[in-house]
Amino acid sequence: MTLQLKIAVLLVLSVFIASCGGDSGSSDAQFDRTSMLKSTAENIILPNAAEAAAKANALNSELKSFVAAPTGEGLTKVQNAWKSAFLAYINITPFNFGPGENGLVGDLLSNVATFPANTGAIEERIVKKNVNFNDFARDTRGFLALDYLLFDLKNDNSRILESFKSSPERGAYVAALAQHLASNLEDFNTKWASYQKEFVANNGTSAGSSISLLYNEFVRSYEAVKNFKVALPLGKRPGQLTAAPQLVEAYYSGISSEAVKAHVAIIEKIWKGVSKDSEKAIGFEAYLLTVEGGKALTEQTKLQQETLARTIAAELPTSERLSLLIETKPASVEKVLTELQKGIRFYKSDMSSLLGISITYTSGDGD
Amino acid sequence: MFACWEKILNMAQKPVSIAPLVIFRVLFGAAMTLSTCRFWTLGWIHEHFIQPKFMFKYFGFGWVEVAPSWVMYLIHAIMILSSLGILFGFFYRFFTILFFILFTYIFLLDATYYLNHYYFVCLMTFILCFLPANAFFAIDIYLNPQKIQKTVPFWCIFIIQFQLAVTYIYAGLVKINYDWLFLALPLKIWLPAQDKIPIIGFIFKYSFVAYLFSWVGMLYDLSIVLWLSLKKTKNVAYLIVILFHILTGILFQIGIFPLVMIFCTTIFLDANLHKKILAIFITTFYFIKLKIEDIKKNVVCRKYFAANNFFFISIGFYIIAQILIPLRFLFYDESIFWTDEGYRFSWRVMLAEKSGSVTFYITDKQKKRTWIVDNRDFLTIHQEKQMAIQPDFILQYAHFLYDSYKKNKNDELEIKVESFLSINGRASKLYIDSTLNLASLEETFSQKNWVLNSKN
Repeated sequence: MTLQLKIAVLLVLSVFIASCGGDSGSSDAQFDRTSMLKSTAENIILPNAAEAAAKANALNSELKSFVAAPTGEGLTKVQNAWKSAFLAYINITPFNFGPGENGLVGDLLSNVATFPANTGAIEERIVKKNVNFNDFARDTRGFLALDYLLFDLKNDNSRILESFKSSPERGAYVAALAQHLASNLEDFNTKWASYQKEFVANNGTSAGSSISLLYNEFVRSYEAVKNFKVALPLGKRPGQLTAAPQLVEAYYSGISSEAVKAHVAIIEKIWKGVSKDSEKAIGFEAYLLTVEGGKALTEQTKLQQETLARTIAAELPTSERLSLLIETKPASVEKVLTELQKGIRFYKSDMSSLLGISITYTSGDGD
Repeated sequence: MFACWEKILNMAQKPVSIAPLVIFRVLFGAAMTLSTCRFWTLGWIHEHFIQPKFMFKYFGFGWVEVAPSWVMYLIHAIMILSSLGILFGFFYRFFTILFFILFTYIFLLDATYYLNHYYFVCLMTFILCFLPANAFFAIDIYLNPQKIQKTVPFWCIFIIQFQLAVTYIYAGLVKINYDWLFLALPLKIWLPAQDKIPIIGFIFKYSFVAYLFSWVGMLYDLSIVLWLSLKKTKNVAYLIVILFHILTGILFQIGIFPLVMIFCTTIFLDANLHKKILAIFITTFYFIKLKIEDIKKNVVCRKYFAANNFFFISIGFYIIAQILIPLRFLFYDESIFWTDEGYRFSWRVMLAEKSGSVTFYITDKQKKRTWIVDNRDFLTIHQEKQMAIQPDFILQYAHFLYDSYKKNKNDELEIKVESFLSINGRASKLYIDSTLNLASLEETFSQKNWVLNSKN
């Protein structure tokens, strides 16, 4: 026993020396993850989910009356309703977990926002009057299928109007699409209300904890903007021989740039902790500020966020179609891609490390 | 020289009680059964071996390929069966060899799943193949009583103790570094994240706790084998082993392995204690007819397993190899934390918090196009995370991309990478030379000069 006593004394001494000598200004502040989760749920996720559901419902009812009696005025109303519903949906794309991933035919994101739409398959479905959306042909439904059916590339609304007047099947299909969208988003909204409690309670940092789910989808969402919404139409995905402007998101309506902007903005809001009404909420930034080395990282990250926002504002004018921009000024779009790429490291390598978040989905088996 | 060798041989062959070895066999078998069942029920067979489109290989083991999914499940079923064979000492030799082969096969399939503990299990089962751990308290003996042994040569116990010593002592030695001891990193990052653990969670917000754990962890790893070996301290030391591994098991996501270590270290306990425990079992389970008394009159120590010079020289080589392999990082200039050269098979257990981000660019020189790869097209999140922190994986993946996208013979592809690495929460730095065409580089054991200097 005396040996152990000696060891114990040695141990206590060395620890004492170590923590007095080596430590330079480490904070003993503790971050309250529970309040971050609560704040994110209450101020960002739930209000945005409610709005996305409300806008989708509005689109649904606009479409119902339009399909019943197609008019030019009705079409414009429907198009506006679609735009605001789609942009509202973008605000919940990074939350594709929990209630978002429980669908029988895949997660919410792939069910309502797969692009590019498969126009051939959509036309075929219209002819066959196939409005069963419980399958894996996700590129025949959702916002981007409506994008194809409701908008003309050259803004020729009379052509669209005519297509509905001449084909009641088309109207039926569009109505079914809107119904499907509305019920999916309504479902997400109501399920979140009950999931909220579980989300806040699951306040650890291990795989499967709310913070790791939020983080994983946050990063995935950011990467999706880069890889699919920008790199893909630029022809930067492996194997693409030319740019593919027709692969932009929302190709027909042409609000692709607006969508990119909205997507980047919600990512930033989650990170900074900005509520739907632009009030202060608690985000990753606040969390980072309580851990060692976090301050430097938040400063770097914010700098990059500003650069990205500035570049998008300068290079992606919302007045111009992204698909055209890619053809006429690809260098502009590439600048945006470059800035998106530069942000990856801050979110992907540095942040998870500092926060000690487990970024795999399942726990490990040792080390 | 020869006298010395003789001495060693005599010591190695000195008969000692078989009881510690038998209990080790039972516990190890039980741990393997549990571990394999757990692996299966968590859906990891699918997730680790069936889902991934690309698997990372160990150097020299590129030929190990994954089997069709039903075979993978069958293999795990056989592993469960084999581990039960080890536990009950039933066709022990056959099942131990089978388990060793299958476990090692699974281990070699995807190097991103490398864990020191898996390697430890590989080595342990390999060792068990040579030991007469079924010569007592085993179904094999029930069926074939004349094979009973009350003792084994000392080396049978020693080799297990040695393996544990290597594991612990190296795990302790590598903790003697500035970050671990004087900055309490990575524990200062990991522990505060555990603040929601019941009862003790609140202490992790204090940074002195991270220091305490760092130093205790280092001292524990370095010296626990010594305390376990000394007669006076071994019982207390074993209680500390239990406490330590339960605590790390709660704190970190390390699955079944605290249990494995708690089980394995019983080999250090006093043989009389093992005998007593065996005696309780044997008298409790009446169907094991062999009473301690029968055994006492029955058995002499038989020289086990043609224990000739060649065999002992082989053991000597094994021992030297186990001591040298973890030291190979000394041959590389750069810090092992940064390059990871020499990381595997070196008992660097939970030593640093590393994470990275890697983006690959493919340039088709003829078509004059540069593409960006979405790693998730091919890799799981786990694989991507592991690849980002280990240069040889980055290189392997670059070659995979090259092969995947080289459609025609004449295609001239260049694979470049932009990768950032962050260690222990420090700001990330550029990791791999982003100007190099990785497709033209080959993996070797020599210094990777395409990994940038960490001080840049």
